[in-house]
Amino acid sequence: MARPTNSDSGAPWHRLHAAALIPAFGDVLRTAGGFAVALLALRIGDWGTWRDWRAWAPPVLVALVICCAAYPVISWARKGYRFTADGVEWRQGVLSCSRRSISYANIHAVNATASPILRLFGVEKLTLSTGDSTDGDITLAAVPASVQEFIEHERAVYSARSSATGESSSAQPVVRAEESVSSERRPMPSLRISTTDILKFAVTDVHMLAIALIIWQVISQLDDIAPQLTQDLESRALAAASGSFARTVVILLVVLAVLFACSIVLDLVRYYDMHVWRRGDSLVIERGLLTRRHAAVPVRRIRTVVIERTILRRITHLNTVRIGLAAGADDADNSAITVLLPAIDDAHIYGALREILPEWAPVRPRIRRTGSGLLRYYITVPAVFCALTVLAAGILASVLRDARWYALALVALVPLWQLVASVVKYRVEGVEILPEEHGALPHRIAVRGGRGWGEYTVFTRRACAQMVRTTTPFWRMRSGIGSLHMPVFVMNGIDELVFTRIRRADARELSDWLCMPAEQAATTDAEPPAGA
Amino acid sequence: MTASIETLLAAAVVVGCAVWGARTGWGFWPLVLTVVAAVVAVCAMVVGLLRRMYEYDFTRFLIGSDSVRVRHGWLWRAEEMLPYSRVQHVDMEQGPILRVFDLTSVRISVAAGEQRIAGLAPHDAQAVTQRILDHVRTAKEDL
Repeated sequence: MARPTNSDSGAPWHRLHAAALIPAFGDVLRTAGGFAVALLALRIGDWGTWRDWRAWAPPVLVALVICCAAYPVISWARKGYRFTADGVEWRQGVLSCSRRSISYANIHAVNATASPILRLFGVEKLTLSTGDSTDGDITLAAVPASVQEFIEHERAVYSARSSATGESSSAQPVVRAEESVSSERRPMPSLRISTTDILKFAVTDVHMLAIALIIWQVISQLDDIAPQLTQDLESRALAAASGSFARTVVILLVVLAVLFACSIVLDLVRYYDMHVWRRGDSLVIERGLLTRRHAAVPVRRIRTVVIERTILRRITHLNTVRIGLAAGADDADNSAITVLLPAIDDAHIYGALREILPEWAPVRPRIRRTGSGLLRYYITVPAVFCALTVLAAGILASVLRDARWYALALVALVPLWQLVASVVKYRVEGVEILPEEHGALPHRIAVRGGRGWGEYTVFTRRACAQMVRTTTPFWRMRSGIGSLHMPVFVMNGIDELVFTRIRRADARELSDWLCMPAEQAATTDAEPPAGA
Repeated sequence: MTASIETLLAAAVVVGCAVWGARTGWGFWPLVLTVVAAVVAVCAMVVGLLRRMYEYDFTRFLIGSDSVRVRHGWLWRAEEMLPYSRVQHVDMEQGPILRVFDLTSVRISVAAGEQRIAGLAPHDAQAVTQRILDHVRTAKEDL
């Protein structure tokens, strides 16, 4: 891959590999297949209507197929990319043409996805993510693997060169260009996630319930196409389940086992042979059984490091580590990309993080609980809601003598769940403004919070927090107990530091920390922090 | 204005539920929904009235040396602080209703949110925007 030396307008355009047509044709076929199934579901029993269609349906179908086949080819022929002196440029469009340029300095992550089909041709799908909240990414559907290496290398060189000449953003650490490039060749620490860890992650994955919902949705769709078949299956399953107590238990266990198996298979496919390592100033994550995914994230682009423990993982002392970025959507696929360590035990987590993210200097934080002594402020509202719901359901059931009022009692489960979640928040919420360390990023903070019945610890930096919002009900103005929210600019995962209940003094301390002027912060940081 | 719209919406839902109940002979669910909607509508009306009375008194803003602070809310008193080093842009807005009263609102945006100072006279809004932008220009970027 030749580095462009001529002017930007003269750099040659490259066409995507022809393998890019395969997913495009796949999309067309999927749409056409769905259309055909819908038509069949509507008309399969109505032979009279079908006979009327035979005269004109074939030519229409042929025309549709030609259009569907021709459009992806024309679209592919119009797409192209090229490397300019400053970044990557992309063009596309048949009727309406567009061009997009991304500077190397603005690339937040380089994600490569190689499905088995693309691997056959030795190419991969490359996504260059920017910190744009709109759809500002460039996706190269099929390019050789050397393109990714070239872009990552150019990004590192460009970033180092800009830092040396002082053109970069101030958040970027100053490194010499040759130092940065040579650091890519040095052996860097790496972590390989074992299959055992992935199995632990899968077994303690509460998203197993989502799989149950997906299965239910599939059954519902089947019901639309073949209602008789699904009714037969349902009646057979109900008859089998209601035969005896033992049989019911066995069927429930089988359903659970199937869900566990689905969760394990999905997580194995997603995280198999996961490997995390450092290459220069980038953190590289590679994983996947069928589709290999490769993401390179510049460490300075990492906004948050989040350690999560769901209720099941709290019991088993396991943690999941994610990184928060200012790029990419907050969807399931992207959240899987930002998982750094799917499952790691308490004893090894900070050691592993120090190995791969030394700039963040992660240590077990000495969290000062901000909710200490404020239990009643946490639980009063959910407890009152819980009691009122139970009371209302009881009164309605006894007065109206209608069995359906008992259904309202189920509503009481929601505030009950909220009550337990509030107790969890009370027990875990807290903060530590981390002391400055030589070689580490400045102005770090660790915040622990609760989500549902689980907990998380967020490490972030002052520059990533955007504002402070404190809210105090007027009846608590005297005591000064309120809530505090500090939004953080990340596009995935936890995007807010939350203190459900906090004393006024603690809230003021956090506000002062965020609003401290840069020059004052620099003076404070120059002095050795107490206890460091 | 927002409070009035909320009250009107709640009243519309009550009327809708009542019409549904009357047409279906006041079954189980129409009765429950109408009662719930009526309770919500009454609460919204009372709270809306109180809010209108007190909201103006409790809305304040301060253009400090390091940040803009905005206080608002009567029942839940909120204070938002936006450091100048995080401000992305400042907008002045005047919708059709504000235009009738010759008022302007100022919107201060950061990367992960925004804050609005509503109901300023146009020249005040201009002055506020200019002062904020002056601070933003001189604020040092946080490392």
